[in-house]
Amino acid sequence: MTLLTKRFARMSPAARREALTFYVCILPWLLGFIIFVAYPMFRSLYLSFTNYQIGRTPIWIGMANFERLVRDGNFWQSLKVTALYTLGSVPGSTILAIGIAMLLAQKVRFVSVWRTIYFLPSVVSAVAVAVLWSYVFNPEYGLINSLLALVGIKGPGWVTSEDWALPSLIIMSWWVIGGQIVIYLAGLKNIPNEFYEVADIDGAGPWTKFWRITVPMLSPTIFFNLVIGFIGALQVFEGPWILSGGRGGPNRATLTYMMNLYKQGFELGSLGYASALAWVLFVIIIILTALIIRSSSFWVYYEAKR
Amino acid sequence: MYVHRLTRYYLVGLVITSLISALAVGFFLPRQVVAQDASVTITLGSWDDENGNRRHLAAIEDFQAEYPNIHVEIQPNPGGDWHSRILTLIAAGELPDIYMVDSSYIPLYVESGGLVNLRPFIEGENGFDPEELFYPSVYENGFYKGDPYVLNKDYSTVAVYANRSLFEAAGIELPQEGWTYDDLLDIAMQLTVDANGNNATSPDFDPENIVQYGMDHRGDWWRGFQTTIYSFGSHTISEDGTTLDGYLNSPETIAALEWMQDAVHKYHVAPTNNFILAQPGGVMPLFLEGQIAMVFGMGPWFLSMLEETPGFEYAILPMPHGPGGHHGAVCWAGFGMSPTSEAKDEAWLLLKALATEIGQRHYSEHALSAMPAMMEDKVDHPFWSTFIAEVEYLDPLDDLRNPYYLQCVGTPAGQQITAVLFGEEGANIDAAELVNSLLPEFQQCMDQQGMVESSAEEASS
Amino acid sequence: MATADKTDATPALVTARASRVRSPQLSQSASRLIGRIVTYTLLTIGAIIMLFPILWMFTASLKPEWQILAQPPIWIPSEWIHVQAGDTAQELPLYAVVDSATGERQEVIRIGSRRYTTALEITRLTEVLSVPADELSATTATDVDGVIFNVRQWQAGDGSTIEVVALARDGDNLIVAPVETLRPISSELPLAVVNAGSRAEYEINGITFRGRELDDGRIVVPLGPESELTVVAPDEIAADARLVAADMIEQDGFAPVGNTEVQQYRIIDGPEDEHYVLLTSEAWQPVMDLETLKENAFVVPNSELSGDDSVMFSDDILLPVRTLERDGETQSVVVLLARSAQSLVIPREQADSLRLVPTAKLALPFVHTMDGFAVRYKDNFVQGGERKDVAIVGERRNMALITPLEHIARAFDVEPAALSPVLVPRLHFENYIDALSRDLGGATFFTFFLNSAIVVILNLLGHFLSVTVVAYGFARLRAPGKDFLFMLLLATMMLPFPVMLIPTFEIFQRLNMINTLWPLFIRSFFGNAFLIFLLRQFYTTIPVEMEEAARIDGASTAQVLWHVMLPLSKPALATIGIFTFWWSWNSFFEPFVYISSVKNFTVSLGLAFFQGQYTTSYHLLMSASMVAILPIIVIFFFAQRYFIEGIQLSGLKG
Repeated sequence: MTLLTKRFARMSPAARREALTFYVCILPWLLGFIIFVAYPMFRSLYLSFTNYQIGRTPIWIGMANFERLVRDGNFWQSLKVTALYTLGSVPGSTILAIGIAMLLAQKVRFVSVWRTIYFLPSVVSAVAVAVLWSYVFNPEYGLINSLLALVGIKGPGWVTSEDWALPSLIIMSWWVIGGQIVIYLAGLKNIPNEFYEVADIDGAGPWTKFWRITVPMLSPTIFFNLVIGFIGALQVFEGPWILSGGRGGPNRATLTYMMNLYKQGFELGSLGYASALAWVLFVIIIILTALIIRSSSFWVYYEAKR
Repeated sequence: MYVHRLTRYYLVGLVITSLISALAVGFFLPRQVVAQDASVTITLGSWDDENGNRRHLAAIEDFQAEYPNIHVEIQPNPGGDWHSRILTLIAAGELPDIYMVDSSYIPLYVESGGLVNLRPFIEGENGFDPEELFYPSVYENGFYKGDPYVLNKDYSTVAVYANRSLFEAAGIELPQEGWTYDDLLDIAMQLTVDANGNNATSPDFDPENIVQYGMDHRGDWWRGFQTTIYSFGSHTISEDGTTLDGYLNSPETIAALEWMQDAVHKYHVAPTNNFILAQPGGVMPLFLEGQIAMVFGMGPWFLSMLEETPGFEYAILPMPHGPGGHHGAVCWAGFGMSPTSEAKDEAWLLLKALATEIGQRHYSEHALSAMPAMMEDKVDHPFWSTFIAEVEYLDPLDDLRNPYYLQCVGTPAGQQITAVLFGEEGANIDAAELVNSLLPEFQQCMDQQGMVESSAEEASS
Repeated sequence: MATADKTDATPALVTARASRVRSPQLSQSASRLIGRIVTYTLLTIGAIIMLFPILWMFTASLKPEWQILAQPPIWIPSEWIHVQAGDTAQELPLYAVVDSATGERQEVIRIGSRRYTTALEITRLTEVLSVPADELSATTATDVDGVIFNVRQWQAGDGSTIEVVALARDGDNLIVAPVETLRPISSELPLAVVNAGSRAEYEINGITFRGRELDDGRIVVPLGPESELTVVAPDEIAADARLVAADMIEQDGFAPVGNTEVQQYRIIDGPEDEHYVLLTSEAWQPVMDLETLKENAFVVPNSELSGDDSVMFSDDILLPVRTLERDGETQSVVVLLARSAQSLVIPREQADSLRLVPTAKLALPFVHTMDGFAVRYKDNFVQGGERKDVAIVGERRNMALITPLEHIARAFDVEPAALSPVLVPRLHFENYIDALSRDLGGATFFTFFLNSAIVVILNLLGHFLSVTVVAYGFARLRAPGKDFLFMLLLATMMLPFPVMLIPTFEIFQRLNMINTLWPLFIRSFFGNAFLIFLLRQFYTTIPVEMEEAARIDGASTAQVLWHVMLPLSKPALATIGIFTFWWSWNSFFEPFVYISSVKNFTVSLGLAFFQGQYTTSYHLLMSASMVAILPIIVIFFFAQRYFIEGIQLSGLKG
């Protein structure tokens, strides 16, 4: 705090006024942050060191929740499921979204219709989606297995099988990429056309152009989507919840971290333990994001700062 | 570089106005429904869907004809996770005055301070005599530690749905009360047929290509399977609710598990759990298509669906007797009262009305009523009568013995025991070994909550 | 991965000269064409995958409920055609059967079926063999002179191959007998006939066979395979169908049809030689129009009723007709519901709408309370194309729907698999009307739409007010601690939501906002990290010079924001608008947590109304869902161009 006041003292009146304007500008967000983010976060940090059964008063128990977590089979299982889900879902949806965005960035007729079609799956209500996918993944009459049967492959049991339930969820996540496509499209639009023209003059093929222009120029967008994607995947809840009827089955094969947390907090009523779980996830997310940001200097290409 | 004049005041004005306009209105506008005149508003929390809520509305209409000064508002929660919602509302102190409770959760809600002991009201000036009005076995499912907390709205027993055409075609007589699990297996074998037309008793039977199963099972639904365990002569937890060892792994429990495991994997008369899970509409479409001859241990929820299916002939059979006799578990929904209610006397009047004639008149139309008097027309009904007959075999649920039973034992046992043993990979799994390997985890889960409670008591003393 | 030189403003390729030999020019237009074809093909395939679920939802929303989960799937919304049976309220489902010889298609109704098995008269068998199962081949169903056996090949010790049939299991061995010894003593029998016999055991060579002793004394063992034959007849026979009380008819032998037979009935007390076939036998229920009942029925003490209580309304409808004397007038009334002390009656002349309908059509009735009488009624009962509420009165009665046996001449037998339902395509638009106009506990979907609209508009307002200003601060102004605050802003995007659920709930509770729409929009007035970030990125692409020019002209920050930044940021504002619309329209979890009263429900929450505890009204769910996603589709379609332009990430530096 003293550092801040010292800096203020050293500032010119104009700079001071600018700084003040800045604080006024961000005031709404700052207030919202304090009330709706910082306070709840610190409260839940406190709760994570307590025994807080719903309807009782929280009681300080030190590290007991974290000790319990290490011994909890559901914790490790859910961590495994979430890690596998993230590793499958994020790269797959990234590749698909980039591919589709590149197609949509071409000069095609009725481009708004095409875009709307690819955006559609992202707006369907979760309730309807659940009914739908149980049909797509039906081992006997499902769309996927019927198609596989055409080429003579006997499809697996998908959501009903312990081995295939998680892959089913991952495939499901590849379908809801409307938001990502839009962001990639925006990224593609921002690549100056001159780059491709120069490349054409130099006789570069499409492949070369893709790797030498598109990917580097798109890398900030990819980076952004990856960060958002990782955070989203680590917190995945709705899809597995609906598809397994809130149970994380078969045999815990789709018990994601958030589902386990939700069950602990809002089915067993152990809010203290659930808070501890939440903070562990938060720390994991922070570490992973920091790693991605660190790695970004090796592969994200930035234009010279304006 | 920057020119600042009225800038700050301008921006401050903009921001402050937006914040104040947002917040201030929030504080000063009335938001709760405040009833005019002298009447009281009672909220009624319901998990029902649209159809169920229409019954609530009809019951409320009748109630208000009698008590015009008590206004009732339904707070529905369609399709959502009711239990989680109740826990959240308990934590927030925002429970509806009267709300629907699944009997499995009564202990947890009582322990969390979410339910009022109804004894003073029942014995009070506006009380009534429940023992006279209700089936004791049904009424007692609303008890925890000897006190009534929840009065029944409706409930379901389980029985066996049988495809009468398949029975008739095979010349098998419909079993009567008193039939056994051996009879069940025998009939199921005759009604399990492969693609070549050979049934499960034939040496030529091909278990890989079954087109018609004799029976099914309730897969990972532990409460459903509890009926079988009771019938084999065991419960899954000690009566005081503390111990699983000797109950969940008792020889009788294991025998019950192995019976169904054999039905699936040795005799192939029931499909695997994976097969059942794969059906988008559940097993009922298969039953209607004649692919499953008997739906085992199912509540009356599908009677209306079957009734509406033209030309489908079916019968409802009683549950078979096991080595431990005839027992049943129950699916039970009731009404409880919030301790934070500000009008408990009026809330009680509504609760009493819904649990007795005014409400039961409506609720008994599509489910069983705790009041025998309300089921007069069902007693002779060809299908409902079987479900009613099961009432006298009911055991109070094991769920009522420990607040954490359902979450720590019931749900995971369904997932990790029955779903696995009756699942695709369940043929070579030793049931006793599996149960014994999971038992410590279940016990620990219940004890964790218990430890937490005792430490809480220590800290407060 | 290609790494680019960060100090350079252009990708490496541009400066690196290509040294490869260039491909011939002539292929350029061709390759462009191929490129186009590939693009469109891929787009189409992708679109089909993306569209399929929506199409599925759309067709499902136009289907009757039973078709949505039918297996195998029925793709086109259809109606199963039924024919009316005589002049009754019963309708019989029509099936199509295709004659395998002529290819002719015929529409029929089912009138019965029998199941058969190959049965062996075990007492006439003398010799069986016990053979290790692995010496036998797999089974083949073989027709041996009209009887089907499960035949296996057995390599006997002397090298010869014998055709045998397995009769029983004996540990790892199978008990078999040569098929030629079995044929003379086996026959195809109805399974019901076999299983009707009492259990009997018979021993050969120390092996016990479990069989059945038939009425004629024969002991048979069902060998299988089982097969089934269904008797069907042209739908005209339904026209002569009539209803009689089920206890008025009795079984009287079988009538042969093709290779099978059908149970025949006669009317007790009727002529000996008049036979009937049974179409259905089920409970029927007297009903009358609820409106008529409400207007004309009344409650009277039983003591005021006189007259012979054996006089009934009609032969089929067993409701007593009594005499009521009141105010000196005598009236003939029909007793609709009788209690021990009083009865609900209706004047005889008002009782015309009394009729019998199958109880099956009255599932899930409701209750109307009338002067203390609980009258059960079925809402929206459809008969003769009319929808009415009908009151359920009197007692149900088992009735048989029969038709004269003479029609059997035109009946024939088919295998059950040859029958398929007669479906006629029809779009059930009424699902939409039904879903949207239903009273869902004091509100309809219209209320939910209104609430969603309010929430969306206030969220838009909140975001536009806050995000534009906050983003400007982060984009353009310098101040100590700004970088730290920006990191904080980015970090809030990573928070797991349940961490904050309970504390946030507590806050709204203290603000007295639970069960109002406030928690659903109030936070947008404080900005949203993601949107602030998006707009900040866009602001940074606007040249500083434009702003400076305005400043020189004496504009304040607010004026700069209003006159320079916002007009140039229209695409980004569109993006914020779409995201806000999308999230707040689709949000399920927050309304679920904060809203209790139906009148405050949003659309996404209201959809779940059609999902019950045990059953889901799929057709209504799908039609309501289709309506619910419509606004977002429309908005996206028209705003997507700005939407994409508005996203600016290139200036982002980790």
